[in-house]
Amino acid sequence: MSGAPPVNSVVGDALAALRAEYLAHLPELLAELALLVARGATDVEARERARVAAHRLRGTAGSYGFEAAGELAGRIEDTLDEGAAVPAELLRSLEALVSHPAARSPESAQ
Amino acid sequence: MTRASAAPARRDSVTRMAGTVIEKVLMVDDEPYVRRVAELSLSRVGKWTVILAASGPEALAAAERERPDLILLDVMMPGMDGPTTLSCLQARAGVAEIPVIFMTAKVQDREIERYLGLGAAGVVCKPFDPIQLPDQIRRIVLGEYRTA
Repeated sequence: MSGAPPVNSVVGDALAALRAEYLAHLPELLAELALLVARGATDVEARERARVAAHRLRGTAGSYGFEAAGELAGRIEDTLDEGAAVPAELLRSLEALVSHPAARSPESAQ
Repeated sequence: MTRASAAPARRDSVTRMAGTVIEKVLMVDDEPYVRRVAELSLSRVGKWTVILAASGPEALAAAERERPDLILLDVMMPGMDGPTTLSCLQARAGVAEIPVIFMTAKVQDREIERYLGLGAAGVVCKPFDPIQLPDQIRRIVLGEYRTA
């Protein structure tokens, strides 16, 4: 089986434009998630909203090339699904990504 | 709900797989950014006509109106979720036989088995690579594998 089909410039340009648009919106999505995660420590409704927001980011960010943001959102969703408290380390990584949403990994954003 | 048609030059690229002709795909997801990148992938890379729906009820209406050859269905949606939508599709004459591929961001073996047990043709994991997605779909429809 061959690998990925060749990407012609039209498709590549269209993907790049979509990616730029998503990147412009990503800090807002990350900041909202960080806020909900912080509030969720004491607010059940905020915790559920954080879980939904994390799930959406998890399934979306990677398709636009922002794997680090998606993977971090996935870790947060899993933590919330388990009923556990979101570790401070994850929240710090999330807050760091707000400023550097295109970082390749949460660690590199710190 | 919107439609993204393949360009006329691509109409010869009808995908014929295991006796199933795929020309029109219904993509269902409540997340706008997922719909947008999927639309681009399926229409420009896959060269299929794409119908978009943002919810289970929209999907049911679009399936009956458009009679797509394949449905990509998000699992976790507010209101009517993916499995419930599939159940409704299966109960409706004329659309019950349309292959459905679930798309999910939570990939656990037991969940995948459950989705397949409900009658899904396969499961695609999110996030997907927009360049690879059409090929993953083809492989599932061909029966090469059921999870991508």
